[in-house]
Amino acid sequence: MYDVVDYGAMIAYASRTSAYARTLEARIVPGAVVLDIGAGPGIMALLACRAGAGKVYAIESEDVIQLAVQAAKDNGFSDRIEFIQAMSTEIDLPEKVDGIVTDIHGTTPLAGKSVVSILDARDRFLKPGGWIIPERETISAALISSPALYDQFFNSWTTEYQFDFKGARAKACNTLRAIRAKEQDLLVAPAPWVVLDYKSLQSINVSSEMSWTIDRAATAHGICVWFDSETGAGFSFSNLPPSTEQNIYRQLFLPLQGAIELSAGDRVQVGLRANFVQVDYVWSWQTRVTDSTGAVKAEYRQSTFNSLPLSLDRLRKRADSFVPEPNEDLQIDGRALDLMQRKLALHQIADILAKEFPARFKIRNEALTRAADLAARYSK
Amino acid sequence: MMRVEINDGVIWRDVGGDVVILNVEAGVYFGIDGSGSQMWRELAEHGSVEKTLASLQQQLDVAPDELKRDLDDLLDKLVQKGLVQVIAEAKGKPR
Repeated sequence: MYDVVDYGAMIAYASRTSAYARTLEARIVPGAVVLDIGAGPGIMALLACRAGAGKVYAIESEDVIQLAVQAAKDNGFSDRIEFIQAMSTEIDLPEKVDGIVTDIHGTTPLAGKSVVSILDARDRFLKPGGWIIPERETISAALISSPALYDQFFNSWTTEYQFDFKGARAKACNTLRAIRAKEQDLLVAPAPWVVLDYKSLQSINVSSEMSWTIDRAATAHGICVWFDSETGAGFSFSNLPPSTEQNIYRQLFLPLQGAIELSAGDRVQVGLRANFVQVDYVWSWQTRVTDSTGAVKAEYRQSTFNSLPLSLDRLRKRADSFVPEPNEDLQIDGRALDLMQRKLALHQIADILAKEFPARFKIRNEALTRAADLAARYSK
Repeated sequence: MMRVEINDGVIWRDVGGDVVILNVEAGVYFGIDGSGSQMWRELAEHGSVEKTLASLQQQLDVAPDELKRDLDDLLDKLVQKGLVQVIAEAKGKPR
């Protein structure tokens, strides 16, 4: 999750904001209806208004939307922007839109429900012939050498205290990390992994194989991934390393299970897939290195599935065969929701919860917090 | 010989003695516990029904017929859920 300083950095990320601004200017005709998904502090909605949009639906699930509301007011666009605090996949709009603008990125466009949201909005809200910004995004990758980074993953577990952390190390090698890669660390020419063409994209899951022939001896520690975003009308931006400007997105690092000493003539094949599972992407990468005679030097299969910090109990509860058995939390929340239905004030609900569940609420304010959290989620 | 292949896009993990399987294409988790998890591990290691039966027979105090029936039941479920394929080696036809 981003904070207000991060949002400021995104706006200050000149090539990104400029690409969006210029594409919006090129795409918007006077009076156009625009949908802004993941509106954040409102920059895209403001730019759309300045470019001539007659109406902007600005959707944002986080509280940062309050900054956008304020910015709309401060810039004289309140009458043209309708703010909706929700996930775009959970709302309906009263009309179809001429265009969709969205900038929900992490180190790649495969960040949480970003692609899910774009495809859903395209299919439900976009007029035939409408536009999407960004139009197309290419995710690319290259092998990377970075002993320092590799140390962070694997060697930080070896200390003077000499405890056995092999379980943690095994998880670490299936963990992704946002990094600021240096150009000189890339061992090979970038290879495109997938192209997300949002007008025609059908699947939210992506999978493809890349391969490189090595031209010099080097040690590979991982795979570096980034994206090029074609916002449209000839404008684009990228988080390709190195970043010479303030770039909030950074790059994605996928570690190799073991460092690989590469020689000229070696062939490296990487099968990389990202599958959306429930709330986010599960990344899996299979690396195979053969020498010039075809002999296998290394073969690794890794996946973020292996690093999910889920307890056995939590993992079990996600299995499709799991039969939920109500616990005390269900009783507490059920009781609180029942009291909400009866139109009681939060302080009354808190008093009742504290009285009926004394073991859970030794401090009355904890019952109030519990009720307030439920009210925030379930009240109009 | 019946070969057992875990389908592409199916990954699994041992969690505290049980097995959790993720079908990444479908985005669905599956859990196998008890003797089922032991059967899964053996299937994944040996990739064959016969070798799995032989290995389990050495580990478990259970009648061969009963073991085969249990393994067949599990395999039917795994095939049904799209997690594995059982291929008759001689004919090479998926089950």
